[in-house]
Amino acid sequence: MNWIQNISSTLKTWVFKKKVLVFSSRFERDPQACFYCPEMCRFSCPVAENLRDNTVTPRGKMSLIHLLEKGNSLETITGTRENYLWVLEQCTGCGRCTEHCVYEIDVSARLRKQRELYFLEHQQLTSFEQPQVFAGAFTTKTFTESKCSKVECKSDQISGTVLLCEKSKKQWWLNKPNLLSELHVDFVEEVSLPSLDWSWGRVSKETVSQIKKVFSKCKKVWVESPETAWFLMNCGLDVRHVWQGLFRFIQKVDWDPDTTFHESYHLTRLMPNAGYSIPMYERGLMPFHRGVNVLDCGGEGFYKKAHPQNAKGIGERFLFDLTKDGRKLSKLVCQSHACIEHLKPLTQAQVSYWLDYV
Amino acid sequence: MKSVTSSLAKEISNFIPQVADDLYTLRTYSKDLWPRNLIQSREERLESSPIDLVVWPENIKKLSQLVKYANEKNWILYPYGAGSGVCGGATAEPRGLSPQIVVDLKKMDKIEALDPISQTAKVQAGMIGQVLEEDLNARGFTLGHFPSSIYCSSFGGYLATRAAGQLSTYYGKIEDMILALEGVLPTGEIFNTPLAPRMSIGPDFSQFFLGSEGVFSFLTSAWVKIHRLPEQRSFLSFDVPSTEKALEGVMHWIQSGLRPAVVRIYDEDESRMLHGLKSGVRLLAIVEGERRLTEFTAKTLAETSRQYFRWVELGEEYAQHWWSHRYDVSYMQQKILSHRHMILDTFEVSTTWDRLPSLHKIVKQVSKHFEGEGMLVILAHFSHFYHCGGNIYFTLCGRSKEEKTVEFYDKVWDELLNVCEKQGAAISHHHGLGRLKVKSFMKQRGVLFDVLKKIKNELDPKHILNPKNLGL
Repeated sequence: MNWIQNISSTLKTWVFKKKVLVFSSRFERDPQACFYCPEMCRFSCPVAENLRDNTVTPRGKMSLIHLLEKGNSLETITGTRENYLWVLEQCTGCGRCTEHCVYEIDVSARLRKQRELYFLEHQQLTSFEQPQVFAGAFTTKTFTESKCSKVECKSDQISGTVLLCEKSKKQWWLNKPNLLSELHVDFVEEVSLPSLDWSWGRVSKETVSQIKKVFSKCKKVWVESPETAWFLMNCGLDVRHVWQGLFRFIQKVDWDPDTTFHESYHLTRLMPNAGYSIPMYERGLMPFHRGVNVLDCGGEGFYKKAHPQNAKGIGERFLFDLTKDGRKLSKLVCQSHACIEHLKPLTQAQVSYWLDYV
Repeated sequence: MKSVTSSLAKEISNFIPQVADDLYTLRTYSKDLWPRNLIQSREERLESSPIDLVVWPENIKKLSQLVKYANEKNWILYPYGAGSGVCGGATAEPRGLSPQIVVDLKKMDKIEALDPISQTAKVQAGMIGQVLEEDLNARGFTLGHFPSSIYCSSFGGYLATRAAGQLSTYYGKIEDMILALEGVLPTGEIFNTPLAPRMSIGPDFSQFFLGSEGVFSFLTSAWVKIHRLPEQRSFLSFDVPSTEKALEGVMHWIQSGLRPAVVRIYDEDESRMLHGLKSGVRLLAIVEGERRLTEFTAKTLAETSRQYFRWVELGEEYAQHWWSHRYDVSYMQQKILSHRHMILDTFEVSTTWDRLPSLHKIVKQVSKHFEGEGMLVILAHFSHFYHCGGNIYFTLCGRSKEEKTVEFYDKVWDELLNVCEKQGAAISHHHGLGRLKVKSFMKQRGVLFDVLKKIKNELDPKHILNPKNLGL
């Protein structure tokens, strides 16, 4: 009987091995695949590299979606909607995780879709969080209906009117696109916001006029974040808001190999505390050593934050690093307002705005 | 940045700015990549997180301050790197009376110093393996540590588990690479072990702290040996009649002083499944380093295999294919684990040359012990070799017949560890012990386990550091 048992056992094992092969050929991909993955793309993600937080690795972000798709409620997984959105937004759309993934899972596209779904689902939201009241140079009036704040900016250097709705800017923008005109908000000349979520910091009049000049050539302005949409709209522009990774969008453009796309907006905004390039500089490395062709100079705010005494110096170092190793910078493409002020005079390179490429 | 709500978070954020206490962060950090955790998450409902806070200290001083403070307040601390451990070493214990805090060391992620003359570097614990290797490569050096988890594991994790890389037969394991360690004791004092190529000044503290899996200290940085980037890399592939014959040949290579960087022997089952062989086994070898030495080693390996062992030489192709897909094995996990009732894990053991073949056979037979309860397939390859022996890397893939997959997983592990204990093999070669292999570890160590307990009581009188890991 032993030999019968042995044959039966061998046969069962053979069948199981075949089953394993079949299993492995038909597994559902994103985001389930990411949930069971040992984070093979974490090192490629600039956000994870910068924040060192496991919830914002590509796996961390996709696992969140997987848990939702398994039927768990948002509250059970993340506690609050803000936490959920915060995780979904920690993506620059650079696509490096997709490049490094054996299954080529497009994490940024999936996150974008999830954000769209979220906003479609919550379009009817009417309540807003309590606005933050700013002290000091600002005087505040609260609009009870919308619970947004209209801030009169009055100081020696600041004049103008700013509309704020702290923490719920996104909901506000999406729910009430005509709110600005309804409230008769004036043209913004200068903004100073204490929020860390805000990357613009103090924007000079020259910059505003520069933005207007550049963007006025375009019929439509496509921007990724509602904050930017809001800002540009305040500059008097017709803005279309898209939930699309700008980097991915731009990277699809056929680039001159010598061209380096200079970015200082998106990463800067996402990583308000440390930036991406500056830790790299400190490590003596430039991001393109890692195959990154999207660079973050840090923008005005970061030059000042990292090297308050020598903001121009770090700009120079950026350009030096950019051009060493025989790399010639023939063109610098920028989607922000900062480099035109800092980098162009240093490099004499042609500076283009990304909109010229669209 | 995430906003925090708890008073504990606010208290700590006074001296460590990056802290988080939102539910998703707590849930993420309460577990590592122990497959049991993944199976549990797959088959069971979400439970509340056992931890209260995650903190990211930026430097050793802040960490020391935190540990001292935690001692005063009786807070439990879990050191955390990339969370890629597969034995549960960084999985938090169920909630008790004291607040539980995970301390993520990834903010400490720089090469602090590099000496190109002595070829040493001081590396901080939070660096991800691939980032460390790329940074060293950019300066013309390599660490030579290439675990298949290199993309997702941290340098501190290598220290904590006494890790080994795929090229370890040439470059050595992490304990061979370490010259000195820096860390924080459970009472908050900062310590440094002496930096020298070799010393005779009492017991070696660096080796004591290596592999302690976060129960004796936080390891924050280490001086390591680094190497110039290899000038040449040669690839060899062979077909061999059996696993035993392959082991005999490799033993001859290693004991005669040859040092290929990689030697991999796939056993009959794995050769059949991965390489499509009908009989025999596949052996791959890679040699790298200085050009002339590499050429000599590769030539000698090929000659001995031809003249003495009569293996079939297959050229470079298969070894090159392995090289370009050497980290892909980690992507297999989701293919199996995403299915209900399925289990997948790896088990790496080591023993001396004389016992390797029998250990291989006996462990493989464990698959037959579970015929009533489910299915289990055990594949194996041999991938790290020493003068006196080597390791066997078993891959377990199974399916539970009933709903209770976690119980099935536990039973399989109990049986495997029992078998290894009886054979006198080391129950872990490079993954560490964690919470998975604690019982066997306690049994195997006997009186020495009591010694470890006494050391733990002295070093960490309040047991605030990774409690119950390693059974301590």
